[in-house]
Amino acid sequence: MNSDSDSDHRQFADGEMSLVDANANTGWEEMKDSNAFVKLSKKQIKGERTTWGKAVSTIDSPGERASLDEDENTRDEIPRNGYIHL
Amino acid sequence: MKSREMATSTYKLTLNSFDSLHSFCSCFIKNAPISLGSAEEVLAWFWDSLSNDRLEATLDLKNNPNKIIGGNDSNNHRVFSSIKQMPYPLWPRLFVYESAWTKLSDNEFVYVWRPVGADNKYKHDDLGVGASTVRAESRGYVTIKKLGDHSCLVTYVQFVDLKVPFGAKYTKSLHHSSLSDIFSLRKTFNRDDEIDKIDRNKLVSAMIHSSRGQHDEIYTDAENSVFTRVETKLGIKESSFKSLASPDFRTKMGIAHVKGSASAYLKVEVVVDASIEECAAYNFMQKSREKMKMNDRKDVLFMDTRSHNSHCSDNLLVRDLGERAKRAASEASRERSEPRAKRACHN
Repeated sequence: MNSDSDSDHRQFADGEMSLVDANANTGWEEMKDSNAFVKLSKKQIKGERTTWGKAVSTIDSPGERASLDEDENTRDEIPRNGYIHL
Repeated sequence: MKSREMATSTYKLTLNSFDSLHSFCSCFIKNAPISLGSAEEVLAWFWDSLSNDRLEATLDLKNNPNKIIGGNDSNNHRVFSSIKQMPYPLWPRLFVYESAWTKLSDNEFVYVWRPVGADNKYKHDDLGVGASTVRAESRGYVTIKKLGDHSCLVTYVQFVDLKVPFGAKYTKSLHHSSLSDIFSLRKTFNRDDEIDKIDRNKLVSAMIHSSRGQHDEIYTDAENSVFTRVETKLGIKESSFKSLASPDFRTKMGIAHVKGSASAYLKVEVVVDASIEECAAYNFMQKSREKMKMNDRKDVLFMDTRSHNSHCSDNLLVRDLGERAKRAASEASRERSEPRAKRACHN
């Protein structure tokens, strides 16, 4: 990206968003790792070797502070495996 | 009553002390998770992918480095390089991608990333990466949409090409771990207990005002008929209940069978240190965050609540009771149908 103008960023975003429609109901298959608050799904597009992955969740956005301590209830919600996030 | 007031004041004191302690600590501890969230803050969380808490969550950071290698001077464009160790027999993968964020509308942001080609600028040698490391690709976007004042909807979409002929199973694992960012995000901004408490307090307030005659709840005939039906069912004699083994010595459990009925009545009794309104509100709120977590199990196939007003809601819970229950149900239905068949033969 040579220019840092907003229109370039918008074009970049539109280009990526046009590759797959996250809001389309068809083709997304729910993954078993979903829980009550986070829905994971995948989609295979014809001609592509691998699948698209999708995660949807509603995040609280308060104007108040959360607990300083780690929440015992949510600790187990995070899947642990041998990889790391990109 | 006095002891209850004392308990309440002690609780308030503890809460205030904790609040002060948190403010005090957050000034000195860089990693203190402070949720002052909004769509902008959620976007900032994604943008700041090299923050201390997110790097801390990275497994084996030494062998899986992630760094900024370029970008424009603006605050919304960066180029990253990231190396991921792969399971045997795959070589490590190198991801070089540029990311940017922009505003889609007044209520929506998007954060996007796409691979950067191996041009003159970002070759293996320039990045200090060994020749055996395979260049892979990742692209995707996150949309963050405001939902009122208190929450936002986050949709995270990604595509990863590991450059393996049959890479589906590896990609699945990678999807799982990458998408787990959303779980971390939810944990960072989590307010489940607080939101449950706010909702419960609203309901408690409605119940107290109603009982004082300040805001009378108006019940329809259909709603009143539910009370009549439940009261009839609850009219089972105390002696009909046989005690059941309870996992808690303070809790009494019992079961009653009524002749001619295939179902059983269960009863649980416990003394709770709360007002009747608080207990009623806790039980009435079937879709609280806490109950959603409790019902987030394999045997709960579906759960939904449709609220009509502050005193009436429809609840639907579909549970898989397992093979034994299915066999028992099929046997019971066969027993019910057999006498009919016999009667038909006699006729």
